[in-house]
Amino acid sequence: MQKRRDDNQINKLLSMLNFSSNSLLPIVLLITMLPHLYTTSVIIFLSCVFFLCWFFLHSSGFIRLPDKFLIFVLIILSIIILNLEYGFVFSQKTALSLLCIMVSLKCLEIKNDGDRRNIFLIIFLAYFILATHFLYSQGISLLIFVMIDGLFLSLLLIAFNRKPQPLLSLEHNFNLLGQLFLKALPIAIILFLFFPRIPGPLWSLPDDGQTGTTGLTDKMYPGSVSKLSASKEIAFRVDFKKSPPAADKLYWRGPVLNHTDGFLWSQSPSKHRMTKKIQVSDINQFISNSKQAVSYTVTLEPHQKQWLFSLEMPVKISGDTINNFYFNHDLQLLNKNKIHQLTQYQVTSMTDFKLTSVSHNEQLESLIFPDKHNLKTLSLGRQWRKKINNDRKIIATALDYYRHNDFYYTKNPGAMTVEPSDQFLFEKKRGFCEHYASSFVLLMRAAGIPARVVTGYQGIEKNEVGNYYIVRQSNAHAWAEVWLENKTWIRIDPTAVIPADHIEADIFDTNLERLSFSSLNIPNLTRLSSQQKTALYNLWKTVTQSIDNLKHNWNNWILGYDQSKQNLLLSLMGIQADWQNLIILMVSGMAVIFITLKAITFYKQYRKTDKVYQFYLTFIAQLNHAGMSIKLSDTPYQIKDQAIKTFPRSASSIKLIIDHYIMIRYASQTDKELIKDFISRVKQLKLNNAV
Amino acid sequence: MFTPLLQTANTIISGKEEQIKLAIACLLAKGHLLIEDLPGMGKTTLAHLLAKLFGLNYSRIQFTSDMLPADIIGISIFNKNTAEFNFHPGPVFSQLVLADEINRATAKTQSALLEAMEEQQITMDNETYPLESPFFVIATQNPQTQAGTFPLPESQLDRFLMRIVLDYPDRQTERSILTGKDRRELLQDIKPAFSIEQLIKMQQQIRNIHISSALLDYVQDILQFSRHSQYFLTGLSPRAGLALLHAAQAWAYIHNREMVIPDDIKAILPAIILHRLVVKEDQNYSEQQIMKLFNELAIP
Repeated sequence: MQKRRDDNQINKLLSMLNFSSNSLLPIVLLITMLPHLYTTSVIIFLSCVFFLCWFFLHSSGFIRLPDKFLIFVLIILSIIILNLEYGFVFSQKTALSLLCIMVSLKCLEIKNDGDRRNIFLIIFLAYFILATHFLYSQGISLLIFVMIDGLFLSLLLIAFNRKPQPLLSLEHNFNLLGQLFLKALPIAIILFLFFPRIPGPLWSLPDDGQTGTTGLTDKMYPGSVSKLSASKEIAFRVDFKKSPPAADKLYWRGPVLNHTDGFLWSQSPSKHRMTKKIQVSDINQFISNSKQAVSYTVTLEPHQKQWLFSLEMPVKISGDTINNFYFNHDLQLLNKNKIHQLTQYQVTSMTDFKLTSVSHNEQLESLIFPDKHNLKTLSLGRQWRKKINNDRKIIATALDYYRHNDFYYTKNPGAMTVEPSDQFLFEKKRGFCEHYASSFVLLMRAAGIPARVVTGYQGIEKNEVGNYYIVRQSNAHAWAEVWLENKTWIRIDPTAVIPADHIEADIFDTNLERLSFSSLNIPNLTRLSSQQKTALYNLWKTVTQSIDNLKHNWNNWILGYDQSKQNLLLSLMGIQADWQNLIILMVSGMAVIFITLKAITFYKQYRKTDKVYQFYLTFIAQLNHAGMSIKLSDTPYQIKDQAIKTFPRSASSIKLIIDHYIMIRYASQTDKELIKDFISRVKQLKLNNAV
Repeated sequence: MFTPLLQTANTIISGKEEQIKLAIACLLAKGHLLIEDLPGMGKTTLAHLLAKLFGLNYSRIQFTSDMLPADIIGISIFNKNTAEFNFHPGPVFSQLVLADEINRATAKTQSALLEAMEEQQITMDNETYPLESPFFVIATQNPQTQAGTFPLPESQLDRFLMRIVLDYPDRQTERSILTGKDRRELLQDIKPAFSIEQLIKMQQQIRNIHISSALLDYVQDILQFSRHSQYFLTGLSPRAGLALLHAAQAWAYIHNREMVIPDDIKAILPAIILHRLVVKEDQNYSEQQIMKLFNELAIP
């Protein structure tokens, strides 16, 4: 009795679940669209939520669905919203927003939970939307999200497919999904490994103007770099072939800032820069005395700019996903397209080098400064020029000035908005790299020495677990280059002369890490002994490094599985093929597999059906060939009647064939003679259409 | 063997040869028959005819809404002389029972009859009274759109081996009905074609009609189709599968065949499955359309 009541309760619960699979649909749909809706505007988000809510309330039995006219009005409204939001630019984002809104609207067309056509269409479109998220990001976290959401979608699909039968048990469901997954897995792996990697994008979509990524910019003002220093975001990861160079060589060159208005530093006007593109093969003209080659692979996170970071100065670069890379006339390495995706490239750099000037113009440009601002700084520079007539000595004097005048290197120097160099050099004396670099370059220019600001990254952070190196946004740095009489640009980093006791604790990465570690808010952290704290910190470091190592491997082997890695795999298998041949190989391979599978199933079917039935089918095929239209669903007697009517001349043999067939196939006992006779009669049958 | 019998039947009810054959097949397969049609289509005449043809004793129960189970199965009455309860059997104690307009009665009364059909016995006051053999119930039912009816639930419809529809006669047949003699008088003159012993023997012989494995495949395909098709709320039960086989055997027997062939299945299929299938509400399929679906199944 008790058991029966339990069963009843379970049934009740199941029927409730059955009912709610309909109301679960909008929830799962919303989750599916969420990563996209999150990045679009509020109004598109709200309209999707509105339609889904409507359907949710309908499926819970509160309100009715809109009629056809109202749906039409809603469609028009949605298109107007989209148009207001995006104008007439049809980019990836527009298309996805359209898709999301239309799928949400499509829910309103579901008549009841037996409306398979609409429900299945919506679920399949949801799978598609799920796949489109990979257009924007290819991280592991997104993959996990897609897997989980795909699981929900598939569970819904099974539930709707089984209606009106009750839901399967969870175990049964997972069993089913597991089987499907295992079947799909080999196909996915083969496609991943062998699908041709076509070098470079074949077409480009309209730029969505993706922003929101923090990172280096081509403008510098007091506070712009120190703002970045708080960011633990990764700029790129580096695998060195051998050991990394010494710390004083770890300057990753970024945009060179030549132009200033006294406050803001920027690149020289673009028409100058664009005129001169220097191919990588020609770089040796501008670099002399190069020594100490370092080879490494950079895995660059997307930053929506053309910049390819490399150690100063790169001489060789290669990579499958970068194309038409070149140096601009500031000798910054650029890619032709903006970096929208994770990009991997191999570089060889000379860490010891002499840089010659690209043009005379460049040196002249590097002497220009606004003479209405930062007057104190300018007069100090001019004063040095009057006293000392040697460029090298002027530079040394300047560096000594920083060294001995109680300057501090800190991340939080406070705002300097008016005459920033004067303020920094004579009042605050506390600054981050951009303060040092900009004031130094101004001093040099005032003293008549061509100088410019170089931005980029400085330093590396080792990942002990994966034995590779990380450069974070907090490594962002600015330094100076000055032109010396012996015709080279020399890198001067004024922050390097600051004595250790004047560097504030927050500069070092390890301290930063400790800071963020203590901000994790672990209860009772203060009660732990210092030893325990260190142990805990080391554990935490290993864990975070392991996670980053996982990401790095994912980048290297999944996202970075490009043409060269594919070629390596193919050559290991003994195949030499470029991507065009690979496509032909893939297509023909798939065709062969498909045909073989078909042939196997056909053969199995053939083996299963016995000989008599085969000849019966031959007989039917003969009749159909002679102009009749007999289906396999027709019974033997129906066939007999029709055939005799169509071919009266062959009536006797047709009658015998059918009678024999019925005897052989349906009677309790058949003798072999009958089967022989049947077969020979089918073979000998000649249908004569002439009456 | 059945040709003279069918000819006789045709003189009483003309133009309904198919339905008469089905009714006979149902009787031979030891099943019960449900006739669904409007009043005045000859349902009662058909029942009468069958009783006469096989020489069965016949009783008729006209179902009404105020009927009680005792009106069907009988009642125990106290006998003053013997000081005992005596059982007075009801009309169900008969070889052929015509339950006329079964959907006029309430569920309780309906189920009394249906239970008797299933068990072929009546239990009252701890005494079991076996019903006669052969025992054949023909129930008639008005289409459920008519007012004042209690439609039989699906589970009870399953108790009937077959359900047939008589339908309107064609123009020529109707003319002969209008001009000919009274059917009741004609019925009086009919002599039984088979004795009851013969009937029981035939019922036993039918179970030995051969069913080949190819044909079992066909029947299973039909069952599978009904279960996996999206048009039906529930599929056919294994009992429906058995019903298909038994009815097909009877049909083959009527046509003097020693084995069942796919034609037999196709002939009896509508009578067996249509009252057992529940079509989904949104699918709105007519019976012809459903039969078309089943007729398109390939014959293995």
